[in-house]
Amino acid sequence: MKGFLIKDYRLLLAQRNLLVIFPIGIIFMFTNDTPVMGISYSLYVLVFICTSLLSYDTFDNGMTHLMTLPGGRKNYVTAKYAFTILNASLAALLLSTIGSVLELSRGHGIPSVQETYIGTLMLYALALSFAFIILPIQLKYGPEKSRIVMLILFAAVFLGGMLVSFLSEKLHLNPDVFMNRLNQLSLGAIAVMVVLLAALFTIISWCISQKIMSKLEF
Amino acid sequence: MILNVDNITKKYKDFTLNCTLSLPEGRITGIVGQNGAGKSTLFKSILNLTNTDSGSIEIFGKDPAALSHREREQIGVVFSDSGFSGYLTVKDVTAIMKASYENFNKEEFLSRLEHFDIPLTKKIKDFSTGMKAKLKLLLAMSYDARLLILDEPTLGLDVVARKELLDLLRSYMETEGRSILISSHIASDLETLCDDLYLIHKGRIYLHEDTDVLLDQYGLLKVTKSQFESLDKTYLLSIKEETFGCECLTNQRQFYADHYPDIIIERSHIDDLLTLTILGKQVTVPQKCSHKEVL
Repeated sequence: MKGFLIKDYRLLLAQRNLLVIFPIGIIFMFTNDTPVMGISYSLYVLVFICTSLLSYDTFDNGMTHLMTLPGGRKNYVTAKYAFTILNASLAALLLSTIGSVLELSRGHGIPSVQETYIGTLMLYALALSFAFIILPIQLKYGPEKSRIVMLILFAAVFLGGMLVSFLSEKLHLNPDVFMNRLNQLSLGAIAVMVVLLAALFTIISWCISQKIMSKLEF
Repeated sequence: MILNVDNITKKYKDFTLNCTLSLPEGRITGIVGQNGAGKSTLFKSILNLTNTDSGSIEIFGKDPAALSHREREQIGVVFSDSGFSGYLTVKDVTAIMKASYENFNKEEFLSRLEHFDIPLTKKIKDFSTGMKAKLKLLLAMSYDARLLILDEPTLGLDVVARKELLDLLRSYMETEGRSILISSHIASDLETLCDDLYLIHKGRIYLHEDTDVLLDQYGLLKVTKSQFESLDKTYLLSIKEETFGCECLTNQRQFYADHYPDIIIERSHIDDLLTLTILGKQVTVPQKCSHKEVL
């Protein structure tokens, strides 16, 4: 797995142009009232870059060769997840620290710092969840076709949301009940829930990716 | 046996692979066939890159899917159409190899790169075809692998570079316990390198013979139609009609030299074998032959 991780880091460094987008998020933190917008942007861009490295692996039949390395299929998948989690974790730590320092410098006090850290934790969990929806789709369909699959998926989610809204109206269900209950929880409790759900989601996604990878032919 | 392939089949829409072969320790076995014959499919089946429909494969006595990490480090692979990402440099690849293979010999690898004028900091996608081919082979030989599986490793190389790399493979085999399975459509490369050869055509093994037997006992008979009528056809493997009469492949060149002094008999090369097997009409297997599987 170490070889695959080094490969991904080397590919990441080779794409220095893409990494320039990341500091733009930091600039957003300074130009907005709260740093959350900038943190959100940077985290999503970073996980997107991490998952997009798969397209460099598949370029020009490269996957055939990678699968002859001693790491094999299982370690390849695990390395992809580890790489994304590692980079997102480091980025979240760095961004939340910058955001907190920024809030303190603006005189917003400790509660704002707490909100920054908790908000970053939730955004980190959501960004990883987003990445781990993309990864198994890319493994299954390849980078090109996976874009179409993602579009179909988003359309399905949108239509699903409309259907839920329609049914709620027809069945006289009040969705505000759920939101009101959620609002009664503290921000920390919500963050813990989100992180636990994201962890569960990551495990499920990893299992699906392993299954996909075991059946692929090169 | 370091590698055993037992009656594997792999079916595609217009193509079926059906092969049996074995590779003993300390041997170089060649697989020769035209483009699309099934060489790469066979190699991918051996390396568990593609599933087979039936049959069994064993590397180091185990199913390839069951090999441990240490055992997989004992296999070096080259595919002509696949390698490390073109966005990496050799420096990047060296770091990846060091992390992937415990026995990776960095100093020797770098020294060979210098000998072959392969730059360290240039992106692989900017390499020439020949440089990419050299890099792939040097990588496969850089970590003391017991088994090298090389699919057209000299593709894209000029004559001089091919000779250099084939010499490297010969010296690689001087260490005991190593074996090479190599495919090529440049038969002359395999003639001088391999201990035995498999001839593959349309997914099936048409011929398997020791190389020195192929070069010594096999021959081409060039006969007129009348000469062909009176020819003992017992030892003919394949016949191809020509304007002058017939061209026949035999595995008993000496027999025909002794009994038919008037006919033109030439020593056959692997290219002739390939041509006559593919373009000629196959004859039923004669009784007196050794180490041979012919359809």
